[in-house]
Amino acid sequence: MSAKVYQGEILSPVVRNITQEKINLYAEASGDFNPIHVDESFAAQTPLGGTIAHGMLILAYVSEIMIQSFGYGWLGRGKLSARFKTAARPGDTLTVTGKVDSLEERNGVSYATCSLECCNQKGETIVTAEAVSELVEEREAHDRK
Amino acid sequence: MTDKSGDKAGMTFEELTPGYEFPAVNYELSASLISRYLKAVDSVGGEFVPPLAIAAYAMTAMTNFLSVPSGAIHASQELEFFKLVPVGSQVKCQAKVARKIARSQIRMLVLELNVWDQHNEKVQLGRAMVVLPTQV
Repeated sequence: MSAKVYQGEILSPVVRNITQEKINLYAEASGDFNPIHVDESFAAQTPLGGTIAHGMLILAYVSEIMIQSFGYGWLGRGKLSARFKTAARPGDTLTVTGKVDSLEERNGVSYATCSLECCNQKGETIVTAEAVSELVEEREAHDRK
Repeated sequence: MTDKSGDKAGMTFEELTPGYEFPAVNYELSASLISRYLKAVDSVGGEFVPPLAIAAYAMTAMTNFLSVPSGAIHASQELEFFKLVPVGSQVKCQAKVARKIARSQIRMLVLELNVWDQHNEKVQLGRAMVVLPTQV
């Protein structure tokens, strides 16, 4: 996996549809029942005007593009810095895109720094992020566990 | 991790001070827990826990000590992962208040979370900025 990574590489995008059912499922799985996510009548009365997806659900999609691209290197030695720009809502189709901005080696270990963006179907940015993943071969990572 | 109320019993924003450390929480990243998480995020699993699952459960465990007002939203998140965590691992999570910001129209908390595995090795570090509503 790491041998194929190059500076400027475009990562394979991740596309996910947001529905209230998925938000509720995430609330059940994570234990986060903040009514801004799951209570439509409450959320309608807030400045957001309706329910929104959990930030950590969106970051799971952002992480997915790194898992797909870097596998064990991301799972075992990754770094993510993300900012939420606007909310993701039921009915949105989110696309996470990314690019390898730079490659570097520190103390004999290779890393890829990537810029990531999650946008909705209107092109509005939901999340911007920078992610750093160690570059490892699958076998090497597996032996480290 | 299954409290369905919005406002939880716990420390309020006013009671928190920068540097305050919440009690540590231990929990198991069991196969059933991770399976539910993977289904919720449209992902497929392997033998290791997705780092965002570790972060999500650490956040939820920590917020049980907080009286989080309904309508609180996530503004930013930093995470660093240090090692692979096999499904079934026991982990310990501890959070502290890194910053507290109170202005006329906005209240924000920056929370720092640390997660260790059963060998007491650090597996994850996180910083979350949460914006709390002044009124809903």
